[in-house]
Amino acid sequence: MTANILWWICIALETTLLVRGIFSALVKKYRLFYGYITCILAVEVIRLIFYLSVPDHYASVYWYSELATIIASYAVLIQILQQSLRPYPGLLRPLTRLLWIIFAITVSYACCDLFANRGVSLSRVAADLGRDLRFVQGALLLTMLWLFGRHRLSLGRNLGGITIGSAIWIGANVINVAFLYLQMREFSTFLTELLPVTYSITLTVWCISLWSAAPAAASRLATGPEEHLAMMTMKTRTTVAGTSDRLLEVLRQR
Amino acid sequence: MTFVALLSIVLLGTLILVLGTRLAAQMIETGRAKSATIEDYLRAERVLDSVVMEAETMKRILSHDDARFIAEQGTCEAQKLFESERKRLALRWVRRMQKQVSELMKLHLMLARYTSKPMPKLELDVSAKCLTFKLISTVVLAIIWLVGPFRAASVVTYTLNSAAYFCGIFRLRHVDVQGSRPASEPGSR
Repeated sequence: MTANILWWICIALETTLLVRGIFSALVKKYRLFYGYITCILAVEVIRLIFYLSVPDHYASVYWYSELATIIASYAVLIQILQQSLRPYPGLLRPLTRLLWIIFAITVSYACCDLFANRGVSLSRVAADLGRDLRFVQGALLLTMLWLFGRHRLSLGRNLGGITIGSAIWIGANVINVAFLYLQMREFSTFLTELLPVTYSITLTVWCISLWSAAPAAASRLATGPEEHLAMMTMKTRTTVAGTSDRLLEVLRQR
Repeated sequence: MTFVALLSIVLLGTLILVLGTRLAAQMIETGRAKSATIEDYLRAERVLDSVVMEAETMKRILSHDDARFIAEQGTCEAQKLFESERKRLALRWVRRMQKQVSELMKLHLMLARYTSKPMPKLELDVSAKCLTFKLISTVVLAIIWLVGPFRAASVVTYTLNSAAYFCGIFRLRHVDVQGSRPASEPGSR
């Protein structure tokens, strides 16, 4: 009963998110993200139809649709990366390259996995593939979050909300998927039951942060940073290394 | 799935949640804080310079001459007071240095994001040097806190001398190996 209520709440939140996105014109700015939300909403409705009318096929439909949504959720990562690093071309290029390399490796691995598991049922293969893709996605998001924190990027309310929501959802999912494959049935059941709650929290975060279009965080550019950067990097290196030497020199007895 | 794999995946999920929370906190903080400029960086560098310039004074403060004088002339209480004062000074100096280096590094990273010509090798080197400094200063802090500034000086000297000794030995070994390599070995020409 509670699960059904949560299901309906999630559908309602996704619809609200889409409607607000259209009204606030955020759909144009975050096309990939809203594309993902549309995909999720369609999947939820299909699952609900199968659950109510053909419950025997629900499990296989669930795993295929789960795989589709995981692949679609990579679009959110690309969206976050593109929007957040637009003002910082120095970071955008190497990171986009890295993202594509990792994505290519994952897809190749997934293809190899498909060939290797020919005898196994397709829903099982879909589940395993979904798990691996989720782990890679988690690692990618972790790298991005670390980078945002390290360089103190100002994301603004809209993009910040998308990123934080994704962190909640993917983080909880990675932990859940890991425990699903372990023999700790009671704990994994508890985590699986907690997952819809986490998803509705994620949707609430997205709804609040994307309710209206917020201006991108203003970044006050330093005067002529390009010319100074090479000098500044050298200076930081020399200063930090010199400080270490000085510290040891003070304590060293002659 | 092995236990180690499971542990690393759970750690990955937990780290995502932690960094997500940190990002939220950072967003609230960014709303209040201003962005960095090259002037802020230069100011931070000047402050760090002034802290490092105190090195000579610190050397004098931590010198064994004063400690020896107090041990010979002063009472036990005076000696304790002297040691605790010097320990407090040494700890404060190292902490100030750590704080200033972190501040400088923070400003450096804030400014580095604006460039369209990234220098990954140099940036990596700067990060490695900063990490080394953090490690050294934390170890020094721990030693001063545990054994006091005067004995810490002995420990540091001993460690540095040992490191220099081993480096010397390894360098000699390397020269020996290079010298005794047979001529037929590939790449020895």
